[in-house]
Amino acid sequence: MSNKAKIVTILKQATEPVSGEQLAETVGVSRTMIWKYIQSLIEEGYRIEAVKKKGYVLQEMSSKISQHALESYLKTNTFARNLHTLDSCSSTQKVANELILNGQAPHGLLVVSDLQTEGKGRLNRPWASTEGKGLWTTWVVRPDLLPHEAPPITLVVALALAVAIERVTSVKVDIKWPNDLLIDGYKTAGILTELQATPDKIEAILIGIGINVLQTAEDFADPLTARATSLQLACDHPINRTELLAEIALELEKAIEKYELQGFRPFMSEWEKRSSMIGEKVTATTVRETIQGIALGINEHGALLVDTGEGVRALFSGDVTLSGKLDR
Amino acid sequence: MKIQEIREIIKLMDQSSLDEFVFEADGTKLKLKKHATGTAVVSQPSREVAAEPQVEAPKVVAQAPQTTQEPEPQAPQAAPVAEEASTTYKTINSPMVGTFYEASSPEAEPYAKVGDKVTASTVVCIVEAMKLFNEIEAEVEGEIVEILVKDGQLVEYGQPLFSIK
Repeated sequence: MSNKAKIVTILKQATEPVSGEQLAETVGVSRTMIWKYIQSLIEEGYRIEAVKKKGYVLQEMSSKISQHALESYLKTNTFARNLHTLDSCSSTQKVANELILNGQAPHGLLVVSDLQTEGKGRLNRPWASTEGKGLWTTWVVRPDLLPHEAPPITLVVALALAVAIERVTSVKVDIKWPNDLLIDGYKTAGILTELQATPDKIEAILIGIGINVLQTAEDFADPLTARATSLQLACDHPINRTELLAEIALELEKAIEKYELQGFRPFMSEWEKRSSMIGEKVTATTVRETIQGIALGINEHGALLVDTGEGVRALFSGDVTLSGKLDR
Repeated sequence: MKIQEIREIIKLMDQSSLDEFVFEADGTKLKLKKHATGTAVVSQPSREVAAEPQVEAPKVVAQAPQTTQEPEPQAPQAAPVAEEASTTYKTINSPMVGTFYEASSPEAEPYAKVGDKVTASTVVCIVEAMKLFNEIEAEVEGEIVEILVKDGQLVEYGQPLFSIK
């Protein structure tokens, strides 16, 4: 842990002011250095008050995502322990790809950017990413799995994400098959995964996760984004993106380890419980056709089972919406 | 391939939601298709041919012989076959179940066309399932002679996507 991370962690846990002397002793640097670190943290947006003759009090974390802020929350072994932060980038998937090519992407690497100028959605649809308000991330994982075992990972990730978000916000999150998270029917987060593999070995999986966190109602005024909402709009207490990120890291790490060891079956019933689509009439649009029916559940591949009345179809691709409801 | 194995596959297919199943190995090609009535059609040509020692069974056997360059399964083993028979096609197989996309987006040019030369690292298509996208590299070198699946089609794990010579 870096010295700054240590200072942030100590101040975050403290119930009363912590003196410069105490900090110097715990961190193992001089009091002058502590003062310099504190000044630097204040510049980064931390609100730290110096209480006369008592010490420092952390009043507010910086809204910026940094290695030391994240470390002060992180409970993982590998996930997000390697962090690549950016103010702006074309897309975090592209950055992660470059890091992979340069051999700088170990298992659990997190790429996070405050702004994405070319965020990609399915079939290269753009995904609006407002500066500093969302979490635009790519996680590089190198699981011990065969390429044909990879597809359900999107659903595994969606489940982990829903658990992490609910823990931080106390807001109920609904999973829309296969890769979107909704709050009251409005899109809040999306997942897009790239598999890099030879026929018999997974090299890397790039898990792209975009989450609307701090956007306000005005950010969604544009008709193109009207079908979306943010966690902050749905939650009644302020959300810290770094804390959310640390929770996501923990849930992802647990879920992917479990998936490697036990496969997809243990995830199936919890996934189905969390999807409001199951048991409902749905319309599925694929490249080749549109089908309607009742969503029965998912199978061991993660495919959505739809009873069309003429038989049960297993859907591996496509956009699925609840029939009869407006797709907001 | 034994008749029991084919029977087993038909049984599995009857229980599955698959409409079509293609399997190819060692010069044998098995293609099963469900019709509206639910009955499966088996066509396994050229097994006898493959058993004949002097002729290597062609890798690609036409189910519905619409292409002229492929030998008619029941045709006598005459001289004109020789050239075709000596051509063994390699295939690029799908590493996972999913939807086959020939291009990165509906507007984009296909990654690969018939006649294109590919190297091992050439991206030839995308297979996607549950929004997990896999850019498929050829893994072999050669020329694409046939694209065996259609854009947007569901492909099985191991299903041949391209023939390469």
